[in-house]
Amino acid sequence: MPTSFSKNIQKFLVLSFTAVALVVIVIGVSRTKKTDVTTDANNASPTPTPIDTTGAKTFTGTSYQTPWGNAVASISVKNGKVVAVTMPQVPNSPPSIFAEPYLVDQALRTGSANIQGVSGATFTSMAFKSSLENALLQAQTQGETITGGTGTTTSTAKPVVPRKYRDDDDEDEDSDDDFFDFDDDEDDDSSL
Amino acid sequence: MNQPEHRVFHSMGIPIHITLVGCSATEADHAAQKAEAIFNEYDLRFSRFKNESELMSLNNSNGVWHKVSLPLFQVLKKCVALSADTMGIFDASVGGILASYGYGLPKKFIRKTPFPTYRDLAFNDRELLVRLAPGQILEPACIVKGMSIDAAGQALSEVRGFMINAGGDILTHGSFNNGSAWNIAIQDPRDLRAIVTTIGIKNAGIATSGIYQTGGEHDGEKWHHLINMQTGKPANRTMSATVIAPTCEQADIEASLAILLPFEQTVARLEQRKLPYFLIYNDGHIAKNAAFSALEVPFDKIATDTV
Repeated sequence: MPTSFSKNIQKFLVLSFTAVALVVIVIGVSRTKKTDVTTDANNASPTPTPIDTTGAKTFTGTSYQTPWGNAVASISVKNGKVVAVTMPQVPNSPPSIFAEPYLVDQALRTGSANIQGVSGATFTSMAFKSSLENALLQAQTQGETITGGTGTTTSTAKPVVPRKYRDDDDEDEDSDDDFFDFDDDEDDDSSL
Repeated sequence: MNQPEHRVFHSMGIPIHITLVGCSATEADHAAQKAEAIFNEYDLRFSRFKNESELMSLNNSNGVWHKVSLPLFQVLKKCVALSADTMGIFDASVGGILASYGYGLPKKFIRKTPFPTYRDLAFNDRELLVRLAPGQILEPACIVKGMSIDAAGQALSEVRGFMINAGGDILTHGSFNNGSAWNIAIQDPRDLRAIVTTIGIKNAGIATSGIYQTGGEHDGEKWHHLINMQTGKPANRTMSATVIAPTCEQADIEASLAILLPFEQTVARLEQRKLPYFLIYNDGHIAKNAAFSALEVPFDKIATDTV
């Protein structure tokens, strides 16, 4: 039947448009949120370091529950490094007064966050499942390699930058044989 | 700049993570061994759970005069002073209540009513004797944990920079990296995989106390280890309290008191001592002072991979 066929097409178009629109909104919202954070940071310190997310891929984790609704974290991965974490969107929490969780957790710490320790009420074991970890996992299954990761890092389609060409200092993991360096934007001072 | 060395071991029932900068792997091994020995020594003396601990034999003394070591005697004196200071809201006699919940229950334990308090303790300063009320069980962990971290820190003082993280209570010494502070994040009590803020500290102790990690249910009632001993009931208005102080001992004590004491009293106490604090109430509200805000590290500084 031609009518039902065109109806199906219509449905399909409407659905895919909605999906695209949602993605755009989510990205937009998370960007706005991040700007807020940076503004706060500007007030606190005279020389903030901007995060260069050009060419980074963003991965969104599964949602987790907060007292005010579900929150979703996402990370941006560039050259096998986590370069940004978006604060989760907590639907009903009033801003600033409430302690909003940054979804930077152990998984990110072992990646690239500049945190040396976490203070919390006495713990007897380390929990290790989160929206963020899920995002990391997605990043890995989609061809990204996170260096210094959670111990489950696997080498995939994207080549790892050999250690001697890197200016950072992760020494664990990725001891795989050298790959050629396809990355063009590595600001490496080595004379190659 | 050589890499920081990391050592992890278990003592006092918690994982202890030591990060050392400016020393070789061999020196780090040596330092970690020294620290571990100190934690084990504290555990052996002050554990409420170990059968061979000195505290255990005191807790089993059952109302007769008992000879104790000087370190234990001093800790008990500190506990009593703190109880007097807080009108009995803090009281090391809490051990009995915790035990009655099944959290470290000694054999043949019968819960007494009225509950023995710090006023029932008797001391003989000259002979280092202590007498507990029958059925009184002491748990000075609130003081001892911070003390043990400080003692381990003393033993490591020749290392240029180090951080000792004992189950979330952290002592930092020197700087982490080319003069930069140690960035310590504060755990989100509602989601243990998330953090709520990060601070940068040098040569300071930080402790977070909360009712969200240790606890369980007893006869259908929720309990945890921070109990207002004036009422005998678990404190329940503050989810998490973080305090920064020159020593871990002080940070740990003040963080625990911040959970136990009423809000106004907590703030007055911390302000009087000029300590940075960060409190999260059960409804998600936070309270922090300017001293704390001054230590906070902007989010973009911790998310970048360049230090």
